[in-house]
Amino acid sequence: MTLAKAPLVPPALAFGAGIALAPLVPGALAWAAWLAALVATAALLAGGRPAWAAAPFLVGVVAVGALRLPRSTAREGRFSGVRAT
Amino acid sequence: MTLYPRQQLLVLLGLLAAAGAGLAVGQWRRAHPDLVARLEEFDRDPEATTAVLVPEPGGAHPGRPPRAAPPRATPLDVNRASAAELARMPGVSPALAARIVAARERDGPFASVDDLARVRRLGRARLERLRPLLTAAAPAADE
Repeated sequence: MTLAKAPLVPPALAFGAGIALAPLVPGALAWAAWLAALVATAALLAGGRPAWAAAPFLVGVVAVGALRLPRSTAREGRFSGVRAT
Repeated sequence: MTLYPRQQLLVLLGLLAAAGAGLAVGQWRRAHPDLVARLEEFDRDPEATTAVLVPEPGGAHPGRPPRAAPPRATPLDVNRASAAELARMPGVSPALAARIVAARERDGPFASVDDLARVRRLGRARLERLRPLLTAAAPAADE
């Protein structure tokens, strides 16, 4: 299999890596990485270097994967009014 | 070797920006549930929210200027109110009112106002705002 035949494999792997890293990466760091990746990719594209732009793009995908899950969850329970006899 | 041509990278960059923006909005909504609830109530008519309240027997309060729609009222009974009445309460959309009625019909009357927490997507903050306006009277034996 070549990249030409499966071009979405690198982003998919990057996204999966981001999800795996989510518990280890602080939220602020992931946001900073996403923003930096966005700026770097845009700058490299504007500078006519698309071959290099793929790397920061994949870093951004890793960051989005890490940010995908909520950092905290609220769970609430209640007892039903039915009494077991 | 070029992994992606320039045009594809531009599209992917747009998707990456949109994904991050969506995540940021979602995170902001989770961080500010009260503000989100207030923003979602902007399209509601505040006058309509008072019209549902049932006037107390005996008429208007002394010393208060008369108004077109009597604002003072007894709390609305969630075990007897229709979906239309519930939908006129502040912060209660027609969809939420329908879910309240559905929960009442499915699981039985609400034992208290706190019991409204069993209604899907009725958050604690909204319940606290509705608390003074609602009551949960025990249904009559023949109901």
